[in-house]
Amino acid sequence: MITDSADPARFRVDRRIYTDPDIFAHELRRIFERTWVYLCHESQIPGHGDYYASYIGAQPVFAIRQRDDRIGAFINACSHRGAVLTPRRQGRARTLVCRFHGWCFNTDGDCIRVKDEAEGWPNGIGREKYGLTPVPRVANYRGFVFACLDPGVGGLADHLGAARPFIDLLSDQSPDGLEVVPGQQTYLIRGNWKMQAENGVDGYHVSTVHRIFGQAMGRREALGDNADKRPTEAGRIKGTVASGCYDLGHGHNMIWAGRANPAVAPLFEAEEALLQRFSREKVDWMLRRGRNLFLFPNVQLMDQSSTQIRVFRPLAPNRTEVRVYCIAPKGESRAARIARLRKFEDFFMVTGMATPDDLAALEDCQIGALGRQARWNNMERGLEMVTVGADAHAKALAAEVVSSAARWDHETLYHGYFRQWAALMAAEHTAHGD
Amino acid sequence: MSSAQDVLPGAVSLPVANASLETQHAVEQFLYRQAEILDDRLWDDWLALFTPEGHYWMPAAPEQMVGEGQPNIFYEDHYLMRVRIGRINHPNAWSQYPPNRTGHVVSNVVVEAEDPSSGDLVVRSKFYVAEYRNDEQRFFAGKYRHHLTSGPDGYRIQLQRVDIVNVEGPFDYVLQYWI
Repeated sequence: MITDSADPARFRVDRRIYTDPDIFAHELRRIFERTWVYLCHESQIPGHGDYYASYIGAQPVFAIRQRDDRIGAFINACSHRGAVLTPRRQGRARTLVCRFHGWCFNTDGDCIRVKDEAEGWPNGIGREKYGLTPVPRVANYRGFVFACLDPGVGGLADHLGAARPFIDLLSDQSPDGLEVVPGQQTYLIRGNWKMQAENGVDGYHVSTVHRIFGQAMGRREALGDNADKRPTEAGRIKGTVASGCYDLGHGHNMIWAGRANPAVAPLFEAEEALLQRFSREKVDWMLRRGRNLFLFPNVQLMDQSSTQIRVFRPLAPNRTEVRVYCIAPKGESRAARIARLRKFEDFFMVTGMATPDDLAALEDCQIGALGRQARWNNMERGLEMVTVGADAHAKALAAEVVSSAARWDHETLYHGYFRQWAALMAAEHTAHGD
Repeated sequence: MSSAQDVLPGAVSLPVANASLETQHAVEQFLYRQAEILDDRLWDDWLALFTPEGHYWMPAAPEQMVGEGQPNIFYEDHYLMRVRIGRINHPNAWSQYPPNRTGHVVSNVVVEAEDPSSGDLVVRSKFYVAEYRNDEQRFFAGKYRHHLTSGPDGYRIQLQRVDIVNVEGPFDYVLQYWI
């Protein structure tokens, strides 16, 4: 389903991977249940009993802050008859009470109460046998919490690999760390999850699909003094700034583009403080380059006009749920936070002024992919100009990337992503819990 | 009256002012006209409904009291509304070719408060909207609360708070402009 060759230089992808129900079912088992999947940010569950409900592929799970301050995760189903235990997406429950028959669980997943335990069960119920089913692997990288249903998966740090220095560019923005700003929005798209994954790091579409957003941003500069709404990213849409993209290995990838007007970015107030802690090169990465980072398979960390966590969940071959959160450095000034929120609303919220056209584009691609007799997506742009390994910008962060491109509108960043996809799909599923 | 944000928090009480029939009629006509302007995409008329410092505000949570501190679904002044109109009108807007269409119904209009000296009003109402786009129809319902200033040219919107029933989503597709 993927043509990947050096001689002749080819890279193309069968459009069936976006539409075929059997492939989709395999993806849930072979990718989502076997690799690290992003769950939440630690700031969303700060205290004992704070939980966050989500999914790993099709399986409902929740992360919860445990008594010893560690973060655990469990399958979100009562051990008795399987009812979901969390009443809300996010909340606090030091004791999780099943609303069906009243069984109770503590934050370690132990069953601590069975209603009318003394009678009715042959030889007693033995509630110590009825703890919640843990998600076998949970790990935190710089505040971002990931989980894996496969106990045999390698370590999270190794999995993130060359993406780590680029996550650090977010996590290091405040000595106090990051916080997810209250509130979230969710939207559903009529497209495959991979279309969302690809669109979020597609530099090539920006100057066509978002030309209108660029013009709208340009209007802002002419509309007088609105300090909190002035754009940083208009240059990248016009294509007048330096840019690039990276294949980060293990399916992760990233695009970046210079900010024509970095001084109006919310973080700019912290420049001096950041220079006390980090190299000029690293601070330039934080302040002077907007970045879209994709962590395979289900999250994008955006640091452009504002800062966003975008999590997606596959629902069907042609249906994907997208949840968006604003993430921000703790302790930033009120003016910076206001600017960050205004820019978040107009670009990243469900009302964002670029999103409607992104979704129109990928929905039309989803329909086009049904045209089986036109089989291939060409992903070869930049193939013969790519740099193997790190360019100077990546070396400044000691990021051991797989390949670098000097333009963000090249498509070489997708190659490692499809190779990771293909490698996971080819391996037999080692069943656990079956 | 105090600032617009102070008079339009998420209301738990449901006050009713002793408004005259004339006031009730005038404000209903104003709300109907706003709905018509939106359905007919009369953008200049839309902007003219708002005072120079007027805002259209759709909180992202029903308990939200102010526009700051967390992302809103909409929190737009004239400046941002003009940017949005520029986007909608652009000939290359993929999501506007073909354009969506809406039909608004506004009802249950109650004058909550009336300032006897200025004539300014706080008004709540209910809306129901059908939107058609790309062979699909979807519906929105919710509550409007308008803080209206009264002047020689009639009412203007100082703040419109929109509490949409499905505020937490998920939204099927996104929102391109105001409900």
